[in-house]
Amino acid sequence: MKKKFSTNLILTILLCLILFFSLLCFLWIRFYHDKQKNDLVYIYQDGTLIQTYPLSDVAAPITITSKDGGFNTIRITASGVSVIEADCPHQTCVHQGEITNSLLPITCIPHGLVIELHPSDSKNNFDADTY
Amino acid sequence: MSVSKLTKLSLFTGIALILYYIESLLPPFFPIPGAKLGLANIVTLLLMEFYPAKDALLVLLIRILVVSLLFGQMLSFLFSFVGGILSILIIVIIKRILTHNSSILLGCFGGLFHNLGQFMVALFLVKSSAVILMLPQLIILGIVTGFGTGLISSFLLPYLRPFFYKNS
Repeated sequence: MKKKFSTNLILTILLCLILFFSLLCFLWIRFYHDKQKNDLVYIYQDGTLIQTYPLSDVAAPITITSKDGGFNTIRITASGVSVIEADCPHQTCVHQGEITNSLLPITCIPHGLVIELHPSDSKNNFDADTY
Repeated sequence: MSVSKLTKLSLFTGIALILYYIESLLPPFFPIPGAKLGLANIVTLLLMEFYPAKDALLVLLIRILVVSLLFGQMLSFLFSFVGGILSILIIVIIKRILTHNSSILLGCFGGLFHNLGQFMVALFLVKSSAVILMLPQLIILGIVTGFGTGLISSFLLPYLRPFFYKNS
């Protein structure tokens, strides 16, 4: 029998490497974002920034209406921001609960809505800082 | 297509639909929004074992179509469609180059590319660089859930072999 070098082994190693590096990236992102004090809410609709709020002084829930008539009601508190009501089918944005860091933005894909938390001192060069 | 094959493919489409439904009833398994186990991918993995890729693709397409008709979400259609096609493609490629057949490896790569496909759709839809932050955890989840589906299908394979090879 001819002995061939196993591609199974190569692929398994490749998979482990991918897993290892994404774990590293994940931890790095988490560490990086936990270090900062996030106090500014950015609301994007279809990729453009439509509003920003500081975390401290908004009391009443805000309702954002999307182009196709859907809505998301956003509550901003001193600790973070959450979507409390929406008429999208999956309700993923509502189930996500309150976010308190910039690690994972609230995203409502049906309405094209992205809600991010960022530190107020870094402003728009956030992307340049991270990548 | 023979009647026997048609029946088996229909049966497996039904199983995939049931698995999808059961999965939607389960509480979220991971603390990440939108993350799922991908149980219906077991059917794709199993079918790829016994039939050419185009039959698995057919079952996948019917499953996605019926799911989006039943649960009425064109958006999840797009996500599942791109993810599913990418994962079948990579499984075909990996299957060619493997020296020993391994359902677990196929499952891992299938899950990984399923999530990569969904990531690309999300990037396209949201058009925000913030989505990139989700890539590492999507990769990890894809490999982990793919490992699970691969493990399950490797357990099932010996029992299904007689079913597929008897008078077909």
